Amino acid sequence: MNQDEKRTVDALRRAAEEWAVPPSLEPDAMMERLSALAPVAPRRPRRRRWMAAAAAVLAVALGLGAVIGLADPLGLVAVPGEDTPAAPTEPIVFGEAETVRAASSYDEVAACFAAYRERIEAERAEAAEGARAGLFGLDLSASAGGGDDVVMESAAEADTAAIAGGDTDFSGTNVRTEGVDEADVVKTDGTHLYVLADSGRRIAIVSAEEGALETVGSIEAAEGRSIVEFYLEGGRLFAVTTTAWYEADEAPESTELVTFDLSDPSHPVEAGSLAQSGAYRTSRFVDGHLYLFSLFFPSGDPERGDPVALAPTVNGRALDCDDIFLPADDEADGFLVVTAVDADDPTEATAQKGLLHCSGELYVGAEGIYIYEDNYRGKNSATDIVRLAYGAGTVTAGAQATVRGTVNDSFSIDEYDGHLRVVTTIYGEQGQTTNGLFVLDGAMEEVGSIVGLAEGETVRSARFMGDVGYFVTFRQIDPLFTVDLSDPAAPEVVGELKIPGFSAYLHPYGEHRLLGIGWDAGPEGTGAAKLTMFDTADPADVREAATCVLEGVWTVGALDDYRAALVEPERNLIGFSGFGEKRGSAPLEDDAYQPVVESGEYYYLFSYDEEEGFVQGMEALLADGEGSPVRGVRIGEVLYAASGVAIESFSLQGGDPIAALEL
Amino acid sequence: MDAQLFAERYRQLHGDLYRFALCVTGNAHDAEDAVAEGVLAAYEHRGQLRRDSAFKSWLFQIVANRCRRRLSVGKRCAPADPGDLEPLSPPGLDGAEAAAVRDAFAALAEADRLIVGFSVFGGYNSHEIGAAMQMNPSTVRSRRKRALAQMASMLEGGVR
Repeated sequence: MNQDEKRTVDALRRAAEEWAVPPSLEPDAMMERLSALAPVAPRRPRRRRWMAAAAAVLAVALGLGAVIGLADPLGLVAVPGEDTPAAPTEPIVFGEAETVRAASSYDEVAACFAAYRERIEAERAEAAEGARAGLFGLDLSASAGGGDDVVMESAAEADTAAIAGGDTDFSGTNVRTEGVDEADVVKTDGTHLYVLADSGRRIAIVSAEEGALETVGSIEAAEGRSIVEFYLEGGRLFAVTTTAWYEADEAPESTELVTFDLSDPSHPVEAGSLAQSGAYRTSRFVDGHLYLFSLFFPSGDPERGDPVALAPTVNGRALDCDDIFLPADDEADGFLVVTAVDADDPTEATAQKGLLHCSGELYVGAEGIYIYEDNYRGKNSATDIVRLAYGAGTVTAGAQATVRGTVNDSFSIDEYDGHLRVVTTIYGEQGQTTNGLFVLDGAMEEVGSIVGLAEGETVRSARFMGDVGYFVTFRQIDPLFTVDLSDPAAPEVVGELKIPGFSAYLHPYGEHRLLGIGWDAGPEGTGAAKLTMFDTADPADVREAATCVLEGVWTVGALDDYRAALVEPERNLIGFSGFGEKRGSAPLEDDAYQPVVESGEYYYLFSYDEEEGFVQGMEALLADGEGSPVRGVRIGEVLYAASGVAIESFSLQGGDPIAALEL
Repeated sequence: MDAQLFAERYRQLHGDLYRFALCVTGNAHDAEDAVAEGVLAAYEHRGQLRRDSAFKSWLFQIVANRCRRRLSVGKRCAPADPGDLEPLSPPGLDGAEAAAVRDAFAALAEADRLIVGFSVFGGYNSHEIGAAMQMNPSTVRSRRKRALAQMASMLEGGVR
């Protein structure tokens, strides 16, 4: 959160102070009403209360992790580890891998839940003793996302794969790993655009021919369900739905994959569905198989009754206990549910696994699924990484390890040629930082590392390209480091370039070129976005080949979600949207002018020229998308900018608007 | 959680809870009803709360859902009426600024009001808001940032 945002938030808080609470809601009046409720629910013993937990409530509560108190209303915990309660139980062992083990019985699963509950209750008792009981800061259990509000997400592997479809080629979703497709809110098959609209209530199907737009059909979410995102593959649409959030305190949350046949796009036909426990987390589509991830927090009682009731279900059937993987520390409050689904039979899972206590971020490489999560047990920052092997519809147990430091985003963790490379920022006890790079082998044993890089700075973006890794750290000026990884056991920094501002997203741009999108100076939100083209011909001597600063741009969608970037080096096309403002003036009478500020979501197109640098092809103020994410999709020579509210088409030659359609 | 603890927690939260509801619904009556209904429901189901430490997020979530239902019953996605956000007590010294802030907030889309409301009055971070609204945390961050920029832009254009 930058200064301007803070000011706005403060202003809102001050304004809100004036809104007096109506007398009926004053605590005494409210308690009087509550005590009049008859009959009052009987007081239950402590333990049973825990057992009766409602799944929907848990999904929220547990997904939240440490709830941050009011003193820090925006969760601006900049330094993981600093606020971490001092509860170091045992020293963390770095660099040694541990095999992920399947449960041998449901009782073993139940024991993990019991262990977790015992620790929480012990901590709570301890805290209650320590009086000062800050009410909400006590839950030490889960990750709070590591101060995500100050860490920029950056983004992707590989180009926005252009797909040749008949006469016109078109752009695909910008993904993290080449060959591993990701669901999104806008997709095209080259003739139609499919756009998630109405806050997930439907997918609009729009024909798009040479820029002309016409709504031809739609897919509606089922009652009580909400569409999150979807895939388009082989004439079918795979929609991922989750319990609509306004229903979430009524029913246990579930994730569903609903498949539609698009033989006639104006009449999509449902072709079956699959359901699994838990709220949708993310998914991938690789080689004809979908992999769905959801987070499930059971409401059963770990000590009484049938422990099978704790297990997540797929299509109503509980997972076998040998499909449940135990956590390293043998305690858990929930599952990450993973299913593999054959796209040709999308109603059955070919593999189904439950990982106990795994609520971290996901990165999916070509061969491995990695779940990485901040580890708060020690004094210094650390990250637990669990690896599962996958392929052809199977998911198998792998290994887990802990590395020093905190991972910025999924581009800082990268699988290549049997090794995992991880770039981290290591926070010390007083919040001082250094940065490191760790190389793990397939068994998650550490085989090489570099530590002590860029003292006082933090990693802002990274991109691994085969044997070479690039990463940007930031304090005042922005060094771009180049690392030679050809010998996994001896990674070596071979280059360092210092430039003002920093790139928060790196994307390969043809031979010897690396595109950076970020900010001109200072952290995010300085109102000046910056494009940088790095010349990487000599990794030991990376140069800034060209830069371009966009004044008055406050946010760039692609820096929050890499799927929003449209980068096609082979077409020499760079596209992204950003919230910005333009100041100009409009004529009044008598030759007077009045200042005009046009703020809103703009779409920007650039190309890159070796001589002239970045060349702006378009800058268009889009229709108000009510804050829903914007995607740019190219079909042939037309750019379509789509939000959940409208689609607008523009000619790539000259950037002239062609048509607009309200969804 | 017993009734006494519930009361104590409610006492600490009720101000922000009401402001949150008012922000989201943009209407004093709806906000009052949403909080009252939500608190009653929470009280009745308080035995289901698994961890006391989750009380706040649980209660905000229940009230948010009540707000949301009220919105979907009425005009969906209609902007809030700034008139309804008038102070119920005499305005302070910065009454003009407060009015401008209310206008700017009321102009936000429904989902953005929720995100900013969760963030400012609930103290949620983007992961938590994402979990509550089934949104990618990065989407939450970008929407919040954009919403705040939109408010700032309106304030700059309107007040000065």
